[in-house]
Amino acid sequence: MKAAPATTAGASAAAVDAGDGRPRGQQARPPSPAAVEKKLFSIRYRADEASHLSLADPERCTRCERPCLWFCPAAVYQWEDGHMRLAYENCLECGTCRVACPSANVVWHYPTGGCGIAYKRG
Amino acid sequence: MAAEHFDAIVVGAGPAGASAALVLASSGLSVALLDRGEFPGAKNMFGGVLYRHAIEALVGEAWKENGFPVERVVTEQRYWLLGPESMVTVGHRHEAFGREPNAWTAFRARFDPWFAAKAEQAGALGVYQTTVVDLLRDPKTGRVTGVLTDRDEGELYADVVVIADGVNSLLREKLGLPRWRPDQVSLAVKEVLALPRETIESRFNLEGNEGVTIEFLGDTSQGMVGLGFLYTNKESLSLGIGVMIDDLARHRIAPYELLESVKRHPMIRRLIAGAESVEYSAHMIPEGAYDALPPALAGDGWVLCGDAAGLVNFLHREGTNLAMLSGQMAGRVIAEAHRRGDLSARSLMAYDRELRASAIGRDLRRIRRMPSMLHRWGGRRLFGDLVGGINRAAYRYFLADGTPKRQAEAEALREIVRAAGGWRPLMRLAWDGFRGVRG
Ligand SMILES: Cc1cc2nc3c(=O)[nH]c(=O)nc-3n(C[C@H](O)[C@H](O)[C@H](O)COP(=O)(O)OP(=O)(O)OC[C@H]3O[C@@H](n4cnc5c(N)ncnc54)[C@H](O)[C@@H]3O)c2cc1C
Ligand code: SF4
Ligand code: SF4
Repeated sequence: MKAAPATTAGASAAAVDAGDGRPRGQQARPPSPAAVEKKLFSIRYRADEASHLSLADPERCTRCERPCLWFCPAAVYQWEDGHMRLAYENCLECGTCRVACPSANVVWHYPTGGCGIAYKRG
Repeated sequence: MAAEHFDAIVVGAGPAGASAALVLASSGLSVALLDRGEFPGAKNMFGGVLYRHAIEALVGEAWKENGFPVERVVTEQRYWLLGPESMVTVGHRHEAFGREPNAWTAFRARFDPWFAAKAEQAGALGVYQTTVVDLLRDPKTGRVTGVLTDRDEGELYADVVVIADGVNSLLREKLGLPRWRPDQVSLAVKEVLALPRETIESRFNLEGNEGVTIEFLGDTSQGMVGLGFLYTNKESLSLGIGVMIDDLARHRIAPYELLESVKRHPMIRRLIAGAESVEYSAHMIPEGAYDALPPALAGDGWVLCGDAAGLVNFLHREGTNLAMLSGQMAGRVIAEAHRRGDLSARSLMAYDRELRASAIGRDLRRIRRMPSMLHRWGGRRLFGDLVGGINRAAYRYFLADGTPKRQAEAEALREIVRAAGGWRPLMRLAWDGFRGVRG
């Protein structure tokens, strides 16, 4: 796995043992969103004006181990200067964050009809 | 669109919804088929196999039409158990699959519009680019009486609402059903990799429109419970991997990096060499089998079909066919209830009973122990250690290094026993595995 630039999230996540027998900290730094940018270029999007994603309580993210920095397949969740930024324009609308956020902090709506991703193949 | 009334409203124009709408419209009912996508299928992805049986059950031999939007006829299915740099494989190829198609590889953004158009031709009103944001209810009885869409004056009323909005169903939660737990769904990521037709045919040993499917598991899921797939299309390959969401959240592995590592696996790298990635996609899959189904699949003014109900047979990677057949069953029950003039919850519950008694219900019941078995043993033991052990055993078995065969075979067996953690765990595992597929 490539090393990503260290961030505050990386530092706190390093304390978490993934429980999979890997050396501690090997996966502890969140992947760099650059890793998925090229893939996202291949998808057609029709941008919605407003975000269909928001956080019920942004404060909760500061006390969380922030698994969303890893599990989101589009790197929508980005931890910047102690805040969670949602790059909602990149969302693949898979719904994983609704299911996987441990404190059900994600307020999730579908984008306006016709907006969001539009696969050419799928 | 103010205060329009239909006999039925179908939410979601995927295989489940389009099938329900097709049956309802063919029975002479007025039906609106709603989808939030730019067109039906725009939001949908899958691994890529469609089954003739279910398609034929809905649209007869329309698959023989010109322009039936599929890629290749599946004539060979392979299963791969992957070690870090090895594999143990089984597979089946049959000429009969070429003569009489059993399954095709396909793309959803091309198949779904074709299939939904069949429902429209039967008389359903397609209403797309329209998101349903809520269910409308009778304030006194609580009966579902329609849907609220994101259009201006977006209320639409109907006698029955067919909820077929897929695995990420927001509407099932509006019914009061629980959200999926992370151990009941997986996340899959996929890339479509373009390659010239001749390259695909020579690499996979194919003639004409023959196609191969490969399901793989083992080292590629990095200690998580997961399954990968590699399917041949006309001029591209569909390569993807799905892993359980609870594992994914715990293991701190980004799905796109997992996919990149799959692409680097020596057994896969050579098959995709030189390919250009033309589309990336992600989607959840319901994996809970029978015990994750809601207590009732129908109620006062509503029925639930397809992925929204959790109808996926992960052991056989079947979902679109279960979706189609459940939509068909729901459509028939509603049409019949309409004819009798009894659209009560009790009357609609005939769909629930029929579905559970059908092959769908029986198959999902048969594999009901699988999810808990997979969780009990865990991805690292099953997909890492055990599959690794099987690969080491095969290596030992085939290695001609002068060791007497009896000893080599004993050593090979020992690899598997060791990988399982001893004889007792191995016997337990065999028993659990047997019960997992026997129900
Ligand atoms: C990676 C992967 C591989 C798979 N491989 C296979 C395979 O090889 N073979 C197979 O048979 N199955 C496979 N499946 C499963 C199969 O794709 C699903 O079981 C099937 O698509 C379910 O059909 P559905 O109609 O219930 O839901 P979907 O196909 O998800 O359709 C739901 C529709 O509802 C619409 N919708 C959702 N919410 C709203 C709303 N609020 N308002 C309006 N519209 C809405 C969506 O836009 C969508 O079109 C796979 C799935 C995945 C993710
Ligand atoms: S997992 Fe949920 S609570 Fe935790 S950081 Fe992410 S969005 Fe916030
Ligand atoms: S829905 Fe999927 S792609 Fe969108 S933010 Fe959530 S996890 Fe990421």
